[in-house]
Amino acid sequence: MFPQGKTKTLKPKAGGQRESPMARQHEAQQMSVYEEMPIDPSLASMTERLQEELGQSADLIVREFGGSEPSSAKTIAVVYIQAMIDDTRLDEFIIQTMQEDMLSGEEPEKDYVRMKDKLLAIGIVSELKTFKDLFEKLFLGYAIVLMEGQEQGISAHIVGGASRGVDDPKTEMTIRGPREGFTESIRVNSMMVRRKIRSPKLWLEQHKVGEITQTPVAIMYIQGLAGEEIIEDLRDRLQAIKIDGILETNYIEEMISDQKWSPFPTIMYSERPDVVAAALLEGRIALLVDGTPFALILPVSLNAFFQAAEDYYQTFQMATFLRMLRFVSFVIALLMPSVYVAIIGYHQEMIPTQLLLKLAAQREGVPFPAYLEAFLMEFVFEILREAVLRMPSAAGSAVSIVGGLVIGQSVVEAGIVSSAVVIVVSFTAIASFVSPIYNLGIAARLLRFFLLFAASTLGFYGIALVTLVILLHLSNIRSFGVPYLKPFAPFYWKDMKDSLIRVPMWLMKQRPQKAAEDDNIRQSTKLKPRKEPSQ
Amino acid sequence: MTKGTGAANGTITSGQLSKLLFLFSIGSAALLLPTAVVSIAKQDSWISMLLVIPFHYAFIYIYLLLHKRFPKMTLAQYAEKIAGVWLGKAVTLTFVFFFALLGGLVLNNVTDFLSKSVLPQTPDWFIGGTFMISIAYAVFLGVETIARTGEILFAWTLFIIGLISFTLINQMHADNLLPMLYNGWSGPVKGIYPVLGFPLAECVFLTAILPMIKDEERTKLKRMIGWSVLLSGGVGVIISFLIVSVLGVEEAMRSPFSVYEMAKSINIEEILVRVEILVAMVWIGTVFTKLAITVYSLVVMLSQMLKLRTYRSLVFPMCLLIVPLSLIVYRNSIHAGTFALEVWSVYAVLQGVILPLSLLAVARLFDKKSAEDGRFPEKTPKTPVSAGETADKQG
Amino acid sequence: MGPIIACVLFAGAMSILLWHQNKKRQQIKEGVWAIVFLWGAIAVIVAKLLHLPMSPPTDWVAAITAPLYKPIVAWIKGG
Repeated sequence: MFPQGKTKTLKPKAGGQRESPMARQHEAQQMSVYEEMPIDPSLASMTERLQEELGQSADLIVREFGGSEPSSAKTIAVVYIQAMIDDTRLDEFIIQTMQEDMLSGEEPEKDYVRMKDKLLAIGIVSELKTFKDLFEKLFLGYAIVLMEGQEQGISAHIVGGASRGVDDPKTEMTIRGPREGFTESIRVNSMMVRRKIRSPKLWLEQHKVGEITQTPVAIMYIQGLAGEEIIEDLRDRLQAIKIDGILETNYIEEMISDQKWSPFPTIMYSERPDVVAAALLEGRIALLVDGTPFALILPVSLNAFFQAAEDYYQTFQMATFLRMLRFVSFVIALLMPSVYVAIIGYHQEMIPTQLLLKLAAQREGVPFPAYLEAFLMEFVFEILREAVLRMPSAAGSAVSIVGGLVIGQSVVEAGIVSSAVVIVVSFTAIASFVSPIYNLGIAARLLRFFLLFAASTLGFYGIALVTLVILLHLSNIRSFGVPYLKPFAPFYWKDMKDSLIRVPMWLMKQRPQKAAEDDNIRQSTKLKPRKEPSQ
Repeated sequence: MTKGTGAANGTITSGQLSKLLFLFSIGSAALLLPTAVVSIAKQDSWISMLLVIPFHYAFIYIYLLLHKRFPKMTLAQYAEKIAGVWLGKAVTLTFVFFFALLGGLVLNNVTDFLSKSVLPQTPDWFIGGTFMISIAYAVFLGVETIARTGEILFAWTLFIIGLISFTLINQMHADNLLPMLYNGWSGPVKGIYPVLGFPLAECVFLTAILPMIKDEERTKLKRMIGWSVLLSGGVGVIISFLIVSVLGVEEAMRSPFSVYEMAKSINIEEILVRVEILVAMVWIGTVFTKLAITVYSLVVMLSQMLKLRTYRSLVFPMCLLIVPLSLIVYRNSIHAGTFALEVWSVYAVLQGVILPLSLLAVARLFDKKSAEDGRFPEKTPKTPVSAGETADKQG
Repeated sequence: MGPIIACVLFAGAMSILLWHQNKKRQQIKEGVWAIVFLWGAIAVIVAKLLHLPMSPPTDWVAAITAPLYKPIVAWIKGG
């Protein structure tokens, strides 16, 4: 149907010298190399060079057409990556263009301008001067239009391509509240956030991180609420990242995190636009990365990891209760195995006599000392946990049955460990799942082993010491300048309203300190529900 | 580290300071002191604790006055300004010795307590050594971190003290407190003596910590410290009150760890038992704070005396030194008792009150003041600083 | 003998560590003093290990302040 257009597909280069793999790798990483290469006015050589640079990749499509007569040289080429653009619109455009008489190539300047105008009808248009510009746009899903005799190319935004639709957030479930979660497309994600905050002050800055992956990364914040220095700091850190690729927010998180060695996370992540929006309203900053539904939120304090989105969608009594429960579970998850070991090993007098007798009876014949038992069971449990996570879902339930019943039961019956230890370990595990954000659970899992060691050598005193050390560590950490233990220390009475307790909405008059720089009053003070005046 | 991370590092608020002061005054004093006071004032020991409060504030006032003259310098630095370089260094040296000795004594207390009640089979040096490792970590991190941790320990400590006092109500025998003032006022007045040294004069550590206050908080300082003194005094009164009324004078005089013993007797319907663990935890927390502050003052003053650019390099050797020091500092527990009761107060008051007072007098006489900032930067830069930009400024 | 050697070796290792860490930040003076005090501490530890008779510093203090504290204590105990 297209008399003069031709889709070029590629044949592998015959023979030919290939440079050593190392040199090629090195070259591939130098995107900057392309900065120097201007677009070649000769269409034929241009398309050939493009093919060469991409190694004749099969999904690079070059469609050429034009020329005053069917047999003369083509004057227009459209270049794109297959399946990354919206085919239908492109086809329509090509059909339309074919019917124009700019194909003759007789008036290059006028034709160029007309081409640009035409392209405007189908998408955002920008000019390209170098290969770098071209490649940037090409891999973002733009179609590149090259014309004979022109030193510039035009790119048109006709992004298409399959991606996951908006779905339930898989990791953060709520009973009441919005059910949408981010997707892998950065534009869709920023749209979802904009839908929550329809303010012109919600600003979005786009950056590219990753030498090879060139991943779009966006910083979103509400201007006037977020701290200026933090934004600048964040920009600097992003620009300082020199890495081949960014595949997930964690890559960025690790590279810009304040505390590179601490198990405690200083940056929060979320899959939910409402969580992100709430954070933005508090003056925090969100980081979106293309290719992952997880957005980063910073700066953040320890408090934030005990707050769940749902706290605001339920009554404040419920929320307060749940918050305290979470906090207590965290402490349990951290301390329980070590406390057990300490009591059994050093402080037997603390246990009521009856229980003590039973425990002693259980431990009769168990070959290992208490701390070794606890350590062993913890280890087994960690293996189980990882296994269940990675199993394809069909086999998952089988593994949990095997793990839970069979191993737990048999191990006790075989006399390898005592049942008390199994109880302790399983309860600890359950408690560690209560933290709504996964990061913190990881910190607990790691620290638990240190505490276990301390308990086994020094009993309660060991636990107290290690807890002090952990406390010191937490007091020292900052997240982008904000002390991690706010609002507990330094003590801001006003911020306690949203920490272990959740005070009713009509009492939350001020935004959290230091997350917000300029404005501190977040809502009008007259929101307390009042009785209707009687008639 | 980029811009945001080091923001406001190394300064504390007046609230944090007052909490630290509270913890310091309570630490080791609340556990050990009541026995000493009771042995002198018998059942009127609570009156002694009450009488002590104005003394406490008066001592601290001296440091505040010195602080007003030299707002951003520690005693090590302004001693040199007041008394001249060499005499000033000599003065600082006595303080260094004082703090080191204090550290050894406190560590000895802790190790003794833990060894006797909780970990009888663990060698003392191991207990002391592990404790000092965490202290070294704390001092290394800096005063701001210690202050923040202190805030949390403060809340926890108050909670436990409240809990203990409340639960002991049903064990009190008020008649143990009688006869009141049997020998007139001489009993309680004499009872002040041990407290003067322990903890009152030890508060001279403030001369090393006061310069670290955030500028905007300086006006609140007096008020906050006032509250802190009242609170720690109040707690002292409550504890000695409880000790005598629950255990009786004879019992209370017997064991050096009387508060711990008292907590052991808490018994509410057989359910709330074994609460003394909480007391032990609070005690470890407060002693930790006290030692951390002591070591911090020690290291800061020593580093300033030697004109070093940071105090951090000396932390480890000093902490190491305090461990064997704690082991040689008392020959036996009798020696410990008599020293703490009799000698320490005089020495501490000499060092912690008379000496600063004389410095203040000389400063007043010759109108010496200085607003120079002699504080250490909190984190020495990772990349070498060129000679011209030495991070701290010395007098 | 064993623990003493262990201590000395430890001191040696720490000295090297301290030296390098301080050299990296151009803090020679700090490094030197740190090492001095380190060896001081080790000396005390070794002396304790060898059970050398060491007079407690508390005795020195008691000796110096004797003229002051003795009368006070007498007054307290007496009156």
